Amino acid sequence: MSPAALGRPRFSAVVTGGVVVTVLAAFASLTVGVVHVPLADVFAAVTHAGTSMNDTLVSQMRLPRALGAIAVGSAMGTAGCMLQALLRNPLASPTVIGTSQAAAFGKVFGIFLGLERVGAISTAFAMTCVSAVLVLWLARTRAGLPSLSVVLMGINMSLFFGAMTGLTVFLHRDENQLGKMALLLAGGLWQTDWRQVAVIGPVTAVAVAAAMLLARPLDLLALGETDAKRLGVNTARTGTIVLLLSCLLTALAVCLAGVVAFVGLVVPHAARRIVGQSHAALLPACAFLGAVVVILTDTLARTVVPPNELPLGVITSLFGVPCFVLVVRSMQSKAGEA
Amino acid sequence: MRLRADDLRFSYGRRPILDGVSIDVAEGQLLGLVGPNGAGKSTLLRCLCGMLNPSSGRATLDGRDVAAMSRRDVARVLGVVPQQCVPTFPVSVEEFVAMGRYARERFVGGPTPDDREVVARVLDEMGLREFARRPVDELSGGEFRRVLVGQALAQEPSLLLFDEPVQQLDLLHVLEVMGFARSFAKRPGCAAVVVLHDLGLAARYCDRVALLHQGRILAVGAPDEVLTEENVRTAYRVRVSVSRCPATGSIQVVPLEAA
Repeated sequence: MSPAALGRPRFSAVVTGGVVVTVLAAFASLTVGVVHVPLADVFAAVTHAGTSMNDTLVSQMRLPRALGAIAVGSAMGTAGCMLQALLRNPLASPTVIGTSQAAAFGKVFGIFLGLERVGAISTAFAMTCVSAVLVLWLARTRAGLPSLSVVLMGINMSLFFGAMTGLTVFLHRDENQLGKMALLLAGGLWQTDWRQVAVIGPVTAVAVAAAMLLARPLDLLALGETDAKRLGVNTARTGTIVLLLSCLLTALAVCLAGVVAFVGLVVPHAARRIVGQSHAALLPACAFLGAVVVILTDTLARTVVPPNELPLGVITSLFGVPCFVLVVRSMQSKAGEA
Repeated sequence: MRLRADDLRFSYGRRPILDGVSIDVAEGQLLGLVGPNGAGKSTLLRCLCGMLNPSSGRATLDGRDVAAMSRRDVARVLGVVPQQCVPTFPVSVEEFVAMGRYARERFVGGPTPDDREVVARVLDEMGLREFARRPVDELSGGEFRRVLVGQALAQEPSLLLFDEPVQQLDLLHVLEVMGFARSFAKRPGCAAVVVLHDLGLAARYCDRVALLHQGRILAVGAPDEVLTEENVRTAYRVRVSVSRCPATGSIQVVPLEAA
């Protein structure tokens, strides 16, 4: 019997499994750190607010950070999955098409203008949309959207928005903000606190849930624009909503954790191997797998070289680069067969 | 279901592709669209199903303007069997066929037992049961053609448009696809349009043939009246010999030399 004949997990099975694994990963990460907190203390801290040092450490520092990691991971996993289906491109992800870097510039620019929190999220979202539209507009040919031009235009946009971020940081000349801004491009969750998570967490949850409502049209969009249209999808409207949602998710994730590269690229490929192609199962799988990946990487980031922290984006890149190579190689071998 | 085109015009930039095309496909008919490369066959097909909007004129389904209908409404009555469709990620035959249900599915909650039943019926009808779990990118050309037809059938349409359905198929699969197109057109309330390059096939299987030339219809009607040596020479700039095949009784067209 082929693996496919074993049947595909459905939405509810994926969500149930996803919740269990995510909660386990979160609790594991709450115990680990420069100070080890026993699991019993973690439970106590999460269930009722105490005043001991462990309580404060868990509930004020590690818990918001774990929730932030869940938000960032599910946002990037979902955004990557939607972009790959919409652009019919296995290499598409917020970082590869440059929207992450645009969001980072948007946030830095927002801070430059004196905006904070929701204001900075708005400028990040706006820049993400600008870069997505630019990439699609510049890469479009009469034959559609060739994978290669999307990726090349994306690299172009990454460099451009990276340069704009550098310029803004240079013009700002505030030593205190300067470091924060520069670190935004490396990615990390060390600044995460309850104030940020309280805003970004719920919005991310709503956007991820909204994405799941688009599961069926995404199945068809992955066939191609004309094919989706021929089978009854309003491609202009659905495509716009998909693009806006993925831009929103990218902006939210970047505002919380900076540019966390490769999560949006690798997670959907891994999730496809587990649950198959159907977006009804794939989208929740990407959200949960993304969450778990970022929780675990963030735990690694803050424990490898104590008492210092590695930037999260550095670790995801170290794992992501070989994965990117694998995806490209498998695309090439497929193209060679055809 | 009656499909009509009234004075369709379409151009890419200044170059006219369709220059006033009117056709009428009545119930029970299989209409063949033939003509040389660049005559506008594929463009006409795209205007008929609303994938392209004509610059003037209109295509109508039972009197309703196709361009004004939602994609969902069009897909409920009209299926298009494309020349090719390459999924980015390898879905199974069953999943691929089930995508034909999109226009009839609920928005959320996934497929109903009804949807599953239609898909199962189509898989049986097209002889795809044994391939159901296979990834579509592992099929042969003939098998994949049946999958494409199956996907369109899952829409439960009254009209099917085939875009060059026999290209790159061997003889057996050519017969299979053309036979299917004809039998579909004969179902109650149904009709079909098929774009073909092979004039003999058009003559044998189609009730009516429309010969396109430079964005216009040069001739339309019964195959014997349309596919004359003179019409074919005008459209294709090739001298041909038209004779009747003793086995099938339909005409066959043999190209002789450039005219």
